[in-house]
Amino acid sequence: MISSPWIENSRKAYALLLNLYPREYRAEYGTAMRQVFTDQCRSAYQEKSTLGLILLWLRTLPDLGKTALLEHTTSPSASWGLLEPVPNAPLPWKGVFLILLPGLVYLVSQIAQLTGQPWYMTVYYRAAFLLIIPVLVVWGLTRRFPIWGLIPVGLLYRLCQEMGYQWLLMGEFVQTSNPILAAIFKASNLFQRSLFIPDLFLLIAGLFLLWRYVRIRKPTRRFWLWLGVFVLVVAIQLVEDIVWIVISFHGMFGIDEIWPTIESSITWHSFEFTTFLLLILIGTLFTRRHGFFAILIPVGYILPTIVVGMPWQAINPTITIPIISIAVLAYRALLAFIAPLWVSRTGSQAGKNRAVLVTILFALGIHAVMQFSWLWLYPDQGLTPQTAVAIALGEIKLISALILGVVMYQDVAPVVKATGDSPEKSPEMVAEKA
Amino acid sequence: MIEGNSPQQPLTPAVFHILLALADGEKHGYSIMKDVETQTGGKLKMGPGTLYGSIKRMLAASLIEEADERPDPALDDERRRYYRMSDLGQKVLNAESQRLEQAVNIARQKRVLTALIQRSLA
Repeated sequence: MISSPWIENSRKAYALLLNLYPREYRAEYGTAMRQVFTDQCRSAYQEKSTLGLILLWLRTLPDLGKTALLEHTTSPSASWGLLEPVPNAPLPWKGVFLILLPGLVYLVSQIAQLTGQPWYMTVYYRAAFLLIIPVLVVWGLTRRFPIWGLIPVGLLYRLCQEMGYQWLLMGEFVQTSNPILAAIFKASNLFQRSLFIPDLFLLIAGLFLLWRYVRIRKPTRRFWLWLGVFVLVVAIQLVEDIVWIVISFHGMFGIDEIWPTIESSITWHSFEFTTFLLLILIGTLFTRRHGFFAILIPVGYILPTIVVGMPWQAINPTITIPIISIAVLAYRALLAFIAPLWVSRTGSQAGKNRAVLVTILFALGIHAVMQFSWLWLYPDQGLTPQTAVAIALGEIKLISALILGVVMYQDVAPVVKATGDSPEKSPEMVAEKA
Repeated sequence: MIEGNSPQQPLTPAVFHILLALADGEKHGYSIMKDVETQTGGKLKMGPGTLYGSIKRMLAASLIEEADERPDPALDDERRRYYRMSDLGQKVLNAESQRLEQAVNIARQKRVLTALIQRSLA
């Protein structure tokens, strides 16, 4: 058997270059490729000595570059991190970067707010429309919803919910310069005579998704517990609101005159309840492809929740405003940066749960404190027990819904292409087939 | 007619010649490579990347199967992975060979081949 330092060095160099191939491909064929190349080296050296080796390298390098690229683009794991998560492993950094992008837009706008830039409000009200466009384009082209589209879905949902609030509150008086939104508002005003109709549509959609989830996933006791807490809090909020209306107007107006206010309160709470529950349930539609990463939808939803800060300096130029602004920035950073980064880079389900719960609870802690920020801005206005209870209930509602999301999305392994051509089957796929 | 997950015809030159190399028995990677080179008079020289990329896709399409791993005494004492043609691979090779034969017959009828032979003799 022919041996030479040239052959040995070529063999070592080729072994190094094999790192250009995807890991799974290397594991499967790396040794065999090295053997074949060594055989080629011996044959070439035997025929034409060093020149033979040079000619072999000139032939091998383009082949190596072309096939390494081909294997990367056709490998089932090529889309991991870009379109889908890696099952039971930290997300590759390329995917992490794309996931962080939409949140970073909001974070940067918050920093801009601290420096007195007015365009942060444009980001707040318009960015979701723009951030969803690349997601829809990629979804349309690849037929696969990208993992980095989850936060934009939450952001867009939040914006649509805001518009729904405005419409419920102001009806035909809602003004917008956006012709598409104007058309939507105009069409929706046809329902305005009965506010229960849109609520009913949302409720039916929510109940359908709930039924689907219960049928497919066989929910645990924790699911029912947190759903119960969520429903109970909404019920308490509604009853408390109605009691307050009745007590406030008792003796001044008849029940016929009070009823529109009560109706409005029911509609309002019903809208908030159904849209929020619907958000969590919509997340279950994404667990088949993205597993626990569906939690990024509620994360995107609560990301733009607080908008207070420097522009209010004109009203109250005290140290309070910078403190509030920094608190808001911390809130935004937790949700836009730390939560997605931590969840993405943690491989285990327990670790992901911890990452989400710790960051969201910290963020909601800031959110809860910020609910009282007007007391610092306007110290002469006292805090009533009713306001304190309303704020506490609001926070419990948020927390219970988010924990409900954690419970619903965990332990659902994303469906990915296995090393062969047969995709693994998730419980959703099995149930849907049945 | 070839059905199932067989590759679309016409086959790529690499796949066709690998199948042809395995037509006379199981072979390991380097042996396939040398056989292909001989078949084509040195015109098709595959690198290890093309060879194993094709083998991977042919295994996925069930055109070939892996045989026992063993050393080749003619080369060294390293264990090598041997491949053999599957029944589907045999059918695909037959179909592709027939397709090529038909193409050659048509070329003959149209005197393309004759013209080529005359040109090469001249």
